Amino acid sequence: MKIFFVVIMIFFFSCEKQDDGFLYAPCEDDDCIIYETTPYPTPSPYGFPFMIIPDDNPLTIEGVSLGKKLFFDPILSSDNSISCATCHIQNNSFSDPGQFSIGITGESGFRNASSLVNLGWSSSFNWDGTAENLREQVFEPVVNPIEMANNWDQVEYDLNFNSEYRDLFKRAFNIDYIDSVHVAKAIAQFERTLVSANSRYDKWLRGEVMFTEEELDGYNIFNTERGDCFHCHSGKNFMDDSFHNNGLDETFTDFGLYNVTRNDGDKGLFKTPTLRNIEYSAPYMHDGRLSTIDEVIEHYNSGGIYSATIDPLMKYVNSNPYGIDGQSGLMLTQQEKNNLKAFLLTLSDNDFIQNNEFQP
Amino acid sequence: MNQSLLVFFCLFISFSCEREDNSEPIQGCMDETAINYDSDAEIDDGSCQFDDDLLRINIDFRQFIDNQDIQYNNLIYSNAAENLYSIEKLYYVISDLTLHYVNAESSIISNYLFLKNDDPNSLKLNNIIIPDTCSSISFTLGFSQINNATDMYLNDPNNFHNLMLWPDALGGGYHYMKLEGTFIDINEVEKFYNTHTGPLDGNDNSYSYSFNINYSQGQSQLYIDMDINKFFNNPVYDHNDYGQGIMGSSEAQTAIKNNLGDVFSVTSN
Ligand code: HEC
Ligand code: HEC
Repeated sequence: MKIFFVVIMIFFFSCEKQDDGFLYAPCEDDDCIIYETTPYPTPSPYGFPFMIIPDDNPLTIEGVSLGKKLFFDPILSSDNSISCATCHIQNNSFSDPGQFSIGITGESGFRNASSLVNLGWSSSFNWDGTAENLREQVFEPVVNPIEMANNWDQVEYDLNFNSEYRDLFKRAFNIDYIDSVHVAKAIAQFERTLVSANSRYDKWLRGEVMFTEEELDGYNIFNTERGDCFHCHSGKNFMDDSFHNNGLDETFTDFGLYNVTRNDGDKGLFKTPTLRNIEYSAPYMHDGRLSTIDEVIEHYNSGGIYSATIDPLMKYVNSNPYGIDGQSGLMLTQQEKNNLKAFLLTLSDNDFIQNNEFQP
Repeated sequence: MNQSLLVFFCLFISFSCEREDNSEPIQGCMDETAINYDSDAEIDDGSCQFDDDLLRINIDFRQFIDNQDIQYNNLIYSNAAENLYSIEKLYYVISDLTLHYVNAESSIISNYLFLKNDDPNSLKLNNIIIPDTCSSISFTLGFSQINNATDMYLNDPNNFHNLMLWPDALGGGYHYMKLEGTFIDINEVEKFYNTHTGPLDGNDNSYSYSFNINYSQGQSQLYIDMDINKFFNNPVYDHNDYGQGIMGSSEAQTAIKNNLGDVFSVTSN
């Protein structure tokens, strides 16, 4: 009888995986419990575009709260030592203040952990765009040998062994067996709630505060040909959801987007990062090579370094064949550089890094 | 029941589930205007059949330099100012695309189109059903003032907002065109130019075109052709005079605008 029950279970689970969303509860008629979920309001800050939420993973109070628990739980790593939050630290806008994050083996990777902010308005993830959506992204760190070094069979085993998780997954998704897809769904739900929209800049847009003269000039440098940052760091989240070579290197050790597309023209292109909370998310660039905002501004002010795939928007590039030393770059004065920085600092949202909704 | 039978049963079930997963994508006709349109089709197998009684038309947007196809990323072109130049990127907006018919009616084909050299699908409109033979076509390069305001296309597809917004600091709205590449400057140095056009200092800078179409029964292909050198020839526009980025320069925007009259031509066959 016991064995027969297991067979039935396997039967249901093996089919269940294809039916994202519609789920069986393998229980006897009279003890079947189907939980109602409570919708979680779609984040819609002032002036932002609609957040597109996949039909098969609507935000629910139960799902978001389960995702948060998983995000902070080392149970996802093979030796129970690190969680997502080890590398994505709220105080740092859910990024890592270390240049490269250290995984469970003590080994470090080769990229700087991105900040996790307003991800619900993005349509590609990771510096090279390896993940097309948040759910897909979750599958990467859990099994990456230099991050959480786990495997999904183990994760599923551990979670199903845990009665609290069995209950929470049942309440969030009405499932009796916890699988990787639902782990990813829950985490993706939580990630969509990591919304930052109360920076000084947002308050200025809403007419609640006035910019100083410096901030206003910085805003103008950013948004005109004087600094020309807005073409790539564009829109409400200061990123164009696309990939560019912003002139960091002459030759590449990390090929970025090329790793995904195998198109020569994509060598050295990386996803434009958001500039929201940039003050908190140092160090900067895909490899964390720059440690301060001043260094970043200096990089752009110098014009950057020429390579075959540099973006035409980096039009004042300073090294040959595209420029003359000393006569290229943005040529901003010290005051203008200070003003640009003052503007970038208006993107800091203290409420976001202190928000206790995001804490376990 | 013995155990091995159960194992067999399990395997059977899991295979039967799996098969659905790996099933072949459904082939069929994916054109909604066809009479045999198959809404379940995932791959178009070229089987579409059309109602011959309906008039239909295809519109292709083509880009040339001196009547030649553009070779992107190639520093081989020369404009009226004798700037040697290349093109790396060409994005532009065509709005209010309207077909006018012999029966004096007209229809707006699209509010705006976002045309991109790196996306061939953005450069053609296929199988537009029309009520009568076309007599003329009209459209605007860029947006007229009433169709161009900050955040107006915030939620539009193809990442249009982020890729084409024209910052509030410059008056707001959207770019009309992003033409980017390199040129050899007066000191023989290769430099980037970003010829980005849009509204500035209260000037709309968009340009509306209307072309008569003389075509006989049975023709269904229209070409809307743009010639890049026409942006720079009359009056002569020299990249050395206007600089590498021109979004804030009314002079440069006006110089381009004054060149727009003959940038497009329309042919049919
Ligand atoms: C060992 C450190 C580490 C751990 C643990 C970790 N991450 Fe990351 N995360 C990174 C790094 C490094 C990147 C950048 C990776 C890249 O682009 O190649 C990143 C990128 C991301 C991104 C992409 C953000 C963007 O805007 O493109 C998301 C989302 C993310 N992580 C979520 C998670 C989640 C969820 C977990 C837990 C399941 C997790 N991370 C665990 C280090 C880590
Ligand atoms: C051609 C597009 C482009 C332009 C123009 C541009 N950026 Fe960037 N920016 C990028 C890309 C792409 C990256 C990531 C590059 C990498 O890591 O390889 C980046 C990274 C940054 C970072 C680091 C963010 C982080 O989380 O690591 C800052 C800060 C920044 N840019 C500010 C600016 C400022 C200020 C300007 C204007 C002076 C500017 N950018 C102009 C594309 C651009």
